[in-house]
Amino acid sequence: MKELIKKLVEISSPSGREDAIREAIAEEVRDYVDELRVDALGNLICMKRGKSGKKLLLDAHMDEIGVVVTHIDEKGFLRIDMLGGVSPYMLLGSRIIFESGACGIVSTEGESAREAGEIMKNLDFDHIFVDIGASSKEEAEKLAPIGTFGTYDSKFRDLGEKLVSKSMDDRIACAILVQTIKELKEPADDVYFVFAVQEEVGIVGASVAAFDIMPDMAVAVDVTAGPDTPKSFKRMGFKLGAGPTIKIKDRGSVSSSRVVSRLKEVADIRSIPVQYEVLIFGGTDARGYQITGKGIAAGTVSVPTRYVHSPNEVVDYNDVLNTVRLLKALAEEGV
Amino acid sequence: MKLERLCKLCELPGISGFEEKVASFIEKEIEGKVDELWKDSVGNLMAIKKGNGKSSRRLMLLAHTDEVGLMVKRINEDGSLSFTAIGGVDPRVLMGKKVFVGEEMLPGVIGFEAIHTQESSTLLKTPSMDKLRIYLGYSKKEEAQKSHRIGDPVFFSTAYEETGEYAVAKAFDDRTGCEVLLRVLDDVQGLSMDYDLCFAWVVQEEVGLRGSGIAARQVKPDAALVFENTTAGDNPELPEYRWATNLGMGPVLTFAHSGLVLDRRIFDTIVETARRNSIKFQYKRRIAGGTDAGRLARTMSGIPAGVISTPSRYIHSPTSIININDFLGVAELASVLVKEGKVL
Amino acid sequence: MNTARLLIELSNAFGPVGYEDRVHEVIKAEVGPYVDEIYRDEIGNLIAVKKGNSRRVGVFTHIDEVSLVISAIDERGFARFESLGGVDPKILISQKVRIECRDGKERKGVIGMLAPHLQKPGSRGDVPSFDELFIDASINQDFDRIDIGDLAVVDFTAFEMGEKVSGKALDDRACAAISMETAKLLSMYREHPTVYFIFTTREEVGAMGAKAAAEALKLDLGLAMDVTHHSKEDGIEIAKGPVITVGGPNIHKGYFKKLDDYARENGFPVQYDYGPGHTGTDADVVQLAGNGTPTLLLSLPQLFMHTPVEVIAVCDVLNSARLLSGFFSSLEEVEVV
Repeated sequence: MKELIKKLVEISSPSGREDAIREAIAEEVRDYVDELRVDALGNLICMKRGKSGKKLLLDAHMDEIGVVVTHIDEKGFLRIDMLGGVSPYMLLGSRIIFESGACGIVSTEGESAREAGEIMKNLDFDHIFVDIGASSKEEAEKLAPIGTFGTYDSKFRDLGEKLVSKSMDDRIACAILVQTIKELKEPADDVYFVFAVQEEVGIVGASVAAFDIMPDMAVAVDVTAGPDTPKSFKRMGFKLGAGPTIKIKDRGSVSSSRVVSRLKEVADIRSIPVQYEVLIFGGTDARGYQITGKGIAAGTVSVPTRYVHSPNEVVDYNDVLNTVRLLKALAEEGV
Repeated sequence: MKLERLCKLCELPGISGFEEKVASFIEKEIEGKVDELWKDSVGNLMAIKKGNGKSSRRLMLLAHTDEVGLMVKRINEDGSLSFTAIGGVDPRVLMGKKVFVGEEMLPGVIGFEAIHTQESSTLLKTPSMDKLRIYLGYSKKEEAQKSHRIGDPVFFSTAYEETGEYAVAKAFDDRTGCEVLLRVLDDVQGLSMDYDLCFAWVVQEEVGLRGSGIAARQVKPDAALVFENTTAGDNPELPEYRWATNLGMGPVLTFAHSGLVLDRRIFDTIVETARRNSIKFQYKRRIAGGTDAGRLARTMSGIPAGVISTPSRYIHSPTSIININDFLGVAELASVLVKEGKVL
Repeated sequence: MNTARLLIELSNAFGPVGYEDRVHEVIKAEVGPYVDEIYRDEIGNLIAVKKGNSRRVGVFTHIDEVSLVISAIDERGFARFESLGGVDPKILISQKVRIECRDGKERKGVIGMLAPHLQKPGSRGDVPSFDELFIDASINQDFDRIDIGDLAVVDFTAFEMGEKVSGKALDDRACAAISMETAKLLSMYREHPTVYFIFTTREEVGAMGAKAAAEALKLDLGLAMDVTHHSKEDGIEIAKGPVITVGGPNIHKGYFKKLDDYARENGFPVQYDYGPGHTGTDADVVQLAGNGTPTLLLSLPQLFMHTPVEVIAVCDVLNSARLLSGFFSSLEEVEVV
């Protein structure tokens, strides 16, 4: 499955520019599903038919956090703004790949050591710039005009049990859904796989993807910040390598209790290791499903991930495989 | 196995200056078990179990009956009550609690402004005690005045509860000490002791060690053992090297606390006795807090004392926690010390 | 059950955000005999239907309570937690809590903090934030059965205080009691609309339950009820009657006039509040359901909102129920507003 992961995480597709990733996923799953369509917002929706007459929806968002060019100066340096939760500290010293193919380096201002120090204390987008190697405004406008989207330029690395890349959030879930589609032979219910757009800017795709489907249960698959690094958040207790987490709550929603208990049941039936998760920030597509129409029982399965929203997000490969097993179990056992 | 008598002692109201109900309860428990029994002018309950005359020396066991609490200081126009602290009460433990007001124990609540209307900059600021109010359902001063006046005592309302090895309650400080004395008295029934054993359940410890000095003057002991409650620091916000004591490690033995280095010979005797009898114990690892031993050392020509404590988490709050085995260890050690008489 | 008793039962019931099933049991047992149908919808609202004419009225009261959820636990039995709904850390200190574990057992805990002299210099004596508070669950012999996601509420037993009741979850279950009393009173009227009493879930985390129910029910009128702050300055006092929100963008002017007129003509004690924008209640989402739903907001004055010692007056509950049952019955089956 590592090849598939590498393929999906290395594609650059920030929120609102999901064409490349959508095509890649569609190509992977086309032969394995009974239906495949793209809705008006750009969500990719696939379905594998079951027999029960009930409907299960599994979701992963295709987009990743990114930046957009907002200004170009006389010397050809770019100013940028963020798409989704991008930390200027994480950007500093990173490479950016723009949709035009241009590559840039992020750096910061300071006309004295003292000023540079002050700026570093409260770094914001007003004090960072991108160098794309242009020597004039005209040249830069050709390479990356205002409005050009970009993402981190970072390659996949296999560290054995741990995998590293940009956009594990949420391509790891895309890969998990693709793998589930390929391995799933006899689903109990009709299983809808939604690859949603624009999660990072405010749960856009998932707020509408289920409107026509109205499934009996919706499960978003996403990453969750792993709190198991030195001196990390003491109020969170799950860790990498101990299995996918069943989310109890985050800032976006409180998971429906029926989804929480069903996920735990199927995990127990198949002896799949799982953990519970209370995230003290963040939100997932589950919120969008939960308040669609007259309401959908919705929850989230997460892959514990270190350094979320950095160019180097780390997941545990066993957690990934166990997430595939958990989703398959749910699809086969039924909602 | 619930510690029934400790439960009753903890649930009794008895803030400093209002210890009568506690003293009366103890008085009923010990009637017929001692040779002399009296209450003094401040409310100390005193008792003597006479020795067989072989020794003229006297040992005094001491615990305090009072607990921390509040006192009504003003009846406001809206019928709510303003209050001040009796003893060391952290205002942070009061908000959102039910309390009992007055000797009639009328229930009221200490509310607080809803989170919605507070300024975020002051959300984590501790309000002064004067900003807190007790609400009893009255809407005017006149209604409140029918049942209340300034000076009325206010008591925490926590019910005693055991969960296996642990117990949660108010007033472990120092009803655990009161109960240790009762248990020692039961243990020495029928025994012929060489020396006079004096018991002092004293008032007003929490407001400045005010009951113990005059108690000592009435019996003139040669030595004393003080049974107390002491702070346990074993919580996840404090690194282990800063824990004064911790739950589950047995009775706490004190070599020194604020204002007093305890008598070396008595301290060594307590340690040796605990070791020899295989009673698990721990030392108090901070020079902080004070006990009636400090007052005894400054009374008459100076009464040497030992201090043995039950450790308690969240001491002086309405929800303190003790480990029952620690408490039982204190009681066991007390009995052995009294029977052996070596501390004299 | 008399109203004070009902308020106490409702307040004591365990029902954190998204886990309100035990409150459902109390409501079903009490109001079941007075309504035609009672069911739980997909998101977790409990809906009781009092059938009448073709006019469809919905009454929204939320029954979730602000609560805590275990977010980490260490090997000694000390747990960290996150809040469900807005909780002031000041009112959590030294509280006993009930922890409901997945094995069906209830365990106990005490919320602890550092004594002032042990706090960091600079913040000495300050109220600890959620990052510094913890639940001491080590007192349970089997604390290792406590897991992330287990829910906790302050262990507070509601009680009567004269004509008032104090308890942990009167926001908004005191209003649920108004709904229940209204359902009972409606039986005495020959003609009334079909009234849906929606006991909503998840209000404290964004009114998600009310939104889903309002979308499904397609109402002619949605009336939300929630508690409001007792404030003499603002002219809102406990025990002086329900509070009608006069106007502003969230309130339907025609229906407001009908309710206000009805209250005045029939001599009900009422107080008034204003809503300059969204009202922070279920009314916000009800208004935007379907093609738009005419919305009213009735509030119950309360002291000490979002603390374990919330206080409401029993007479306000009863007066609200009398007002609503009368008002609903006064609505014509077909009318222009």
